[in-house]
Parts: sequence; C-alpha cells; structure tokens
Amino acid sequence: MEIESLSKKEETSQLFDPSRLPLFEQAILPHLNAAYNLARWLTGHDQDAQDVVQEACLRAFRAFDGFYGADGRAWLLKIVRNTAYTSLQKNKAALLMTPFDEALHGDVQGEMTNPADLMRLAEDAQQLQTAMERLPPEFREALILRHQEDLSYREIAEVVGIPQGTVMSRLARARARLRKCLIAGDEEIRS
Amino acid sequence: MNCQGIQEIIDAYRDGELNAAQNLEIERHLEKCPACSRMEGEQRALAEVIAFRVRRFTAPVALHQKVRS
Repeated sequence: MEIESLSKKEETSQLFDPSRLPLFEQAILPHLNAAYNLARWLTGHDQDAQDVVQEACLRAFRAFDGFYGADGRAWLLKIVRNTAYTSLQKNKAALLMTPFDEALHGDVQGEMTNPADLMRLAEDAQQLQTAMERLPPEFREALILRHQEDLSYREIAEVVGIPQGTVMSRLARARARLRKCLIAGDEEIRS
Repeated sequence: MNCQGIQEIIDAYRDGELNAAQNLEIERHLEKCPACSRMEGEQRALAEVIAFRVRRFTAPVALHQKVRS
C-alpha cells in the first residue's frame, strides 16, 4: 500500500518539541497493539496495517501539541482510522466508492440463534474470520472498537465521528449481520 | 417498560451504557420474561464471541521498533 513517504522524519524532527517525547511515549505508544489491530481489520493486510500505523504515529507525533492527555488510546485510534480510510481511498478507490448507507444495511434482523449454537458456529476460527471480513468496514470497526478495545459508545462516536445514537444502532446492525454471516457460512459448508 | 422497549435498549444494557435505575428495570423484566431473557442470552454470547474468539492482531515487534526509532 502506498502511503506518503515516511522520509518526513526530518521534517518532524524540526516541528516537534523533543522535551515532549517522553510524554508522547507514555501516552501513545502503549496503544500500539490496539492501533495495529484496528488497522489490520480495516485494511485486511499485515504490511498495509503496519504502514497505516507508522503513518498514524507520525501524524500523532506532529499533532501532539494539541493533545491534552484525556485518552491517548481513543485519540490514536481516531488518527489510525482516518489514516486507514485515506489510504484505502487512494489505493482501493472502488472499495469505498459507495458511501455507507445505514438504511441499506439495516435489514439484517432474523431468527434468534440459540447461544450454544452460536458458540458452536464460532468455534471454527476460519469461518469466524471470514464472517468478520464479509462485514462492511463500518460494521467491522464498530465491533472491534466495542468488543476488543472496550471503548464506550461516547469514545466510539469520537473515534468514528458519528453521533452516539448512531453508534448504538450501528452496533446492533453489525452484530445482527455477523450472526447472519456465521449462519450463512455454516449453511454453505453443510450444503 | 414492555418487551419492545426492553429489546430496544438491551444492547446498551449489556454494553454497560445505562444508568442504575434502567439496569434494575431491565434485570427485573428479564427475570420474568423468557423471550427477552433468551434474546439477552443470545446477544451476550455474540458479544463474547467477538471479544474472545475473533482474532485480535498484535503489532509485530518490527513495528514497535520502527515507531520507537
């Protein structure tokens, strides 16, 4: 994935106050795994995700003067998310050509599944991975931010740039769609 | 609150986004309503699947080194 050249290090060193480096390391760097996890789920590739995280860290580094120490993780994840989408738009324009439509993706309610059946379906790691990858990126990121990074609705709203009410409805649709993909994958295997 | 009202906010309940009074109301309803209780169980199972069975990618050591350098 082509991302703006990382040779901006020289530029960065001129803009950044070195005395703030320890604070940056303390506030931001502990969240590198969360940053990579989100980038990996959004881009679908290891190297692309690494490029996104590197670029996002550079951006965070440059913008650190505007960070007031509230929540380094949500702040970094927002930059990672924006960097990932910018990169995807540049490199895979077709992928994001169609704007996300909440209404279009709304019809995902279906029959409830027994919790034991659900756990059985999820036991197949590859099937679960495929089901997640089939989700629109907006659904995938909502699920990752909520269930793996344990962000609150308010934090997700901040990272994604949508109202809290939309976070709630998007999560509900994302969960319903994942369940549907899991069941569909299981039926494909059985047929 | 009826079943429809409960089911509209049951995700927020499980996600810890409601206040104490709302939590109590939902818990009382779940104790006496098998349909809502079943739905809550299914949603809880799905949340556990995503949290614990969906792969969580860890940043490669090389990335840590590049970012810190």
